[in-house]
Amino acid sequence: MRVVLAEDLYLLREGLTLLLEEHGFEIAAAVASGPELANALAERNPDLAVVDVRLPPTFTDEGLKVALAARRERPGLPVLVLSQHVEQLYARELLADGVGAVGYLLKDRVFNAEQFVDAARRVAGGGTAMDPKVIATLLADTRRDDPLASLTEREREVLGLMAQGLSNAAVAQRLSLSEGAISKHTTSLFGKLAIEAGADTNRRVLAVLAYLHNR
Amino acid sequence: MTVWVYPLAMVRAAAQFVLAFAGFILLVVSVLCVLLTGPLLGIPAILTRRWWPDLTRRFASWSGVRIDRPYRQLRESAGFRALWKWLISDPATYRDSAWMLLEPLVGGVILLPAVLTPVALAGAVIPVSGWWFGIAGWGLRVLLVAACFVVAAVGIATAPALLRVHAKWTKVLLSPTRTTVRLHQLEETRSEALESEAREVRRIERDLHDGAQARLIGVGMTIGAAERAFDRDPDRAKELLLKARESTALAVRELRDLVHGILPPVLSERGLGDAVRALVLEQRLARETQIDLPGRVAAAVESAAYFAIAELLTNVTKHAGATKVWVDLAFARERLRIVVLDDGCGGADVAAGSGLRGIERRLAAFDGSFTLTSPPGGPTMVTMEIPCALSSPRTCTSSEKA
Repeated sequence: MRVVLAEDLYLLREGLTLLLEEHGFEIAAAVASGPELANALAERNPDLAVVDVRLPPTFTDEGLKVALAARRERPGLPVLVLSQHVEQLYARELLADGVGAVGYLLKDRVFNAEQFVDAARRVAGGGTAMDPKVIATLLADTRRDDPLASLTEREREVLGLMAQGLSNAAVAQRLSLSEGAISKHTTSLFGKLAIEAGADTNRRVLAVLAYLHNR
Repeated sequence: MTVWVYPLAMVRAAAQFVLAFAGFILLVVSVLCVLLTGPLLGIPAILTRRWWPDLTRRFASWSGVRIDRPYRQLRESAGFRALWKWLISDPATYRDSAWMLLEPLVGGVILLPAVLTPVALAGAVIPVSGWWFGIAGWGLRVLLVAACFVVAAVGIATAPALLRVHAKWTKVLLSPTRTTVRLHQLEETRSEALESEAREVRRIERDLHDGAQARLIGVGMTIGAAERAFDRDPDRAKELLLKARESTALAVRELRDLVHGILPPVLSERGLGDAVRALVLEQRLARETQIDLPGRVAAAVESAAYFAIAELLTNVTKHAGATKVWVDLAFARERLRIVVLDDGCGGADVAAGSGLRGIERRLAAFDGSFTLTSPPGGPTMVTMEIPCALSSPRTCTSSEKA
């Protein structure tokens, strides 16, 4: 799997390169600025772009802008965005085209290499990886009349993990439950929230995120 | 209002009339002190004579005219030389002098009818009591008495009005000039801005010292322990390394919160418009934003506006019991205008909460305004305006409902 990596801090760039190579990714290009990233994405045609939001020369949201532009050129180009902070605003922009194949994670998630690599693979495969912190704000402090308030504690947990982009199997593993139990929970919570749930994991995750965002 | 207002005003006017001449003598004495002895007697003389304009300022409140003291603030640690410089460089000293010089003339003319009243009354008594008996004929005497009563009546009837006119004349020279008022305001907001900056720096220092710095020392020690345990007890070493990793994650989280408190990254990445949009998205309320900000404003203004809105939204969530909040951000006529409205319980009061007062003070440093309307039962609306300039025009007008 060929990856274009954009990160301006040398140490982090090297660290990420090492981590990804260790787990069988091939680094097609490791760049340090927005324009370089735009070039690399156009020329190398990677299977996945791992992009830091803040890049030179502007040190604003250069990385995010280049990634979004590249996805307009090539819809569905898998992009995993890393940042020191997560904003729902950015999550919405990444999810706006409804195609999926996006990830948005805090940089410190690389501390847990397995989960990070898992998220990268998921995004490359057309799935979604949303940071738990983004999902936590989406699920937080529901109003009393909100359908979310009618969910059981367990259903909420399942919903949160699904919104992060995990498949039923992965959710089951995280919660140490059987897959059967998980699918029972999902059927129930989709009923309560009136979400159309397809069998396909990706489409289901996007439906959940769309529901949470438009609430 | 009783009839007593008239004689009272007359007495007050007469008293001020007499004092005007006493004030003139005070002026002459103080000028002589300054000219002959310099600061030696000049300082006590100028300080003492301020008593008279101060008294007059207080008198003006009889007529409902408010005159603020115009004198500059003296810094606490000033010595003799600084005290002298402070007195003779203060424009208010010269304006006081001018007023004391002119007061017997201008004030004298204005207050004259009031002073004439007792004179006229006395004059009326003389022909009646017969002292002038034989000097004038009856007809002339009646005329004199009538004239005296007319003068007295006019004096009494016009006394309150003249007192007011006198207060307004006083205000011309004894109130602070626009420059002085502005100077006061700038001094105040500057010292507040400096103080709050110093406070902020102290807070950051403490947070770093007690937070990330301490935690990283802990991480270093844990890794050291893991190193030592590596050979004899690999399981223990693994456990320690895991602990070190967790501590590092915690330190990163703390640093992130700290950075957010100093300058939210989304603010520096996207500017005020998107930062407010991001902020509103975090609110778990129904919300509506209307943002019309075609460009960026100065970083300091962005930051002040952002934190003001953040604090208002926190208030809405915590205290208002609202179900919906509206945030409106627009730039027009060289002003940034922010409106935050909620449908909560109202009853917010700037005097009651230090938070609102703090926002008002911070905006004052930008010559900004802060208006709160919050009747009991709601809704609460806060309007803030900050004069500023717009740079790098670029369109990003949008509204969003959720």
